[in-house]
Amino acid sequence: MSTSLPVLDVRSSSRSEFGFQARLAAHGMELRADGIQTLQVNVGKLCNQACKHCHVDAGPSRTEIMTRETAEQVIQAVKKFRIATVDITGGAPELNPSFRYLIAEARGVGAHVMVRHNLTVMFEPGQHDLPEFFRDHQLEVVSSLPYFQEQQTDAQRGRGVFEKSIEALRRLNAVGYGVDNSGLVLNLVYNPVGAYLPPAQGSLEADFKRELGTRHGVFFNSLYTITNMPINRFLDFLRRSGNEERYMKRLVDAFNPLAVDGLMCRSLVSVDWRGRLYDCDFNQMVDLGIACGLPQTIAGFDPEKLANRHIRTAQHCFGCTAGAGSSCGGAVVPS
Amino acid sequence: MLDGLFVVQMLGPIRALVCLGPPKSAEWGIRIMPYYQEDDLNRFGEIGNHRPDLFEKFMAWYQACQEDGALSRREKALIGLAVAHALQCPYCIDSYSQACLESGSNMDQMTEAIHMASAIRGGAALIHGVQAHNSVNKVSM
Repeated sequence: MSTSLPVLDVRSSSRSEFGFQARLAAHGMELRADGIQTLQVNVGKLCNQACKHCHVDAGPSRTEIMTRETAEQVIQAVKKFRIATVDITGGAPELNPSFRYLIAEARGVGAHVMVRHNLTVMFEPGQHDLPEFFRDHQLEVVSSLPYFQEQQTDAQRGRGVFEKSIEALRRLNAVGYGVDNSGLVLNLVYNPVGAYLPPAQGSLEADFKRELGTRHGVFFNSLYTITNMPINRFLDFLRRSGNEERYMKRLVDAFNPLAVDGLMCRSLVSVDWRGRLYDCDFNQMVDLGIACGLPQTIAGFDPEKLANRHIRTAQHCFGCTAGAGSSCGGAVVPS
Repeated sequence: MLDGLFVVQMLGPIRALVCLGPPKSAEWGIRIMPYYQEDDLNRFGEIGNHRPDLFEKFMAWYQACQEDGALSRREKALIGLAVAHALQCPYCIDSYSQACLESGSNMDQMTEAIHMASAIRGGAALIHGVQAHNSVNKVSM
């Protein structure tokens, strides 16, 4: 029987229990890939925003971005191996000069393409046509909006971001995104504005739809709840605010073995701005590459060798298995 | 003159031990010893070291109360937050503040719940004014 209060499990969790592999083994589980459905391409750390929770540590002053040569290697892999889904992220991926090349080429061979779009980048120079560009290429748009109220959104993403985000959503709606039967999918991403787990995805999605619809007249398809990862800028916040131990304990105590099967690392390979391969975007940010003996770069990408690979893990993996689980597509266990 | 160790009671539960030592020069030396410690919440299971049968029954009941039922987890967390404030239990306020956030409530909703608890506490005090009136009327000409 669990002896947990709503927030904190009363069973003591010392740091030695923070081993993710040990926790999997205790449940008789091993983390291996199950095919490659998605190639997630992180085109770099350049972003027009500097969000407080960003696991990429992205911002306007970052210069690490994917070159055209590496982008071409990505496209060669997509074409050669008929990758079903290409998920383009950053930073703000639109700021990479090779962004539109990647989109056009991947769509040209019939790949489903998702873009992680932060909404406000639409107001940067040369980006005003993004809604039409997204529509013309039939992209799935996944946009961050941490809350339906201005105060929380601006607290995480910067002053004025909420107002700009609402305007950007209106523009996406105007070309058909998020509108019923348009075929243009606009999904939103919620991250907690602090050191706590996301609420149940279904009930929060209903709140977002009601509040954004009635207060601002904007629409979207689905809401993805994603847990904040204890790495980079969010880890800095946890340490500065004295929340690191408590947050890690929360993640560890909320470990849900039912979430393991649906973890995104089981169906994707992540590639960074230099062309190096990882099991996920979070491993990428802590420089935890694909297991030794397997292809390490996009130039050597080989789905056969990677399809059943052993996935490398670290403490931050508890972020993806806590509660209802967390992935780039939101919760992995139905609420 | 204040001296030695005494307990300060703040609006109900005992919150802190305050040690007042002899005056140092022109000022009093004051140090606050925390009575409620955040980490003690993690030690709640130690209550089960004695009569574990009773503790297990309590925990089973406690957990069952949290589950979705005729009320949602979110509604129950808001009730918990309100009751925590009425009881002025720091552990419960910590727990249910986080439970409210993790079940999707925002600060406006949580603050309304706290006002509800406070209003009922205030009303409960005020209605006893009738008792005072009765008392006064009984002895008055």
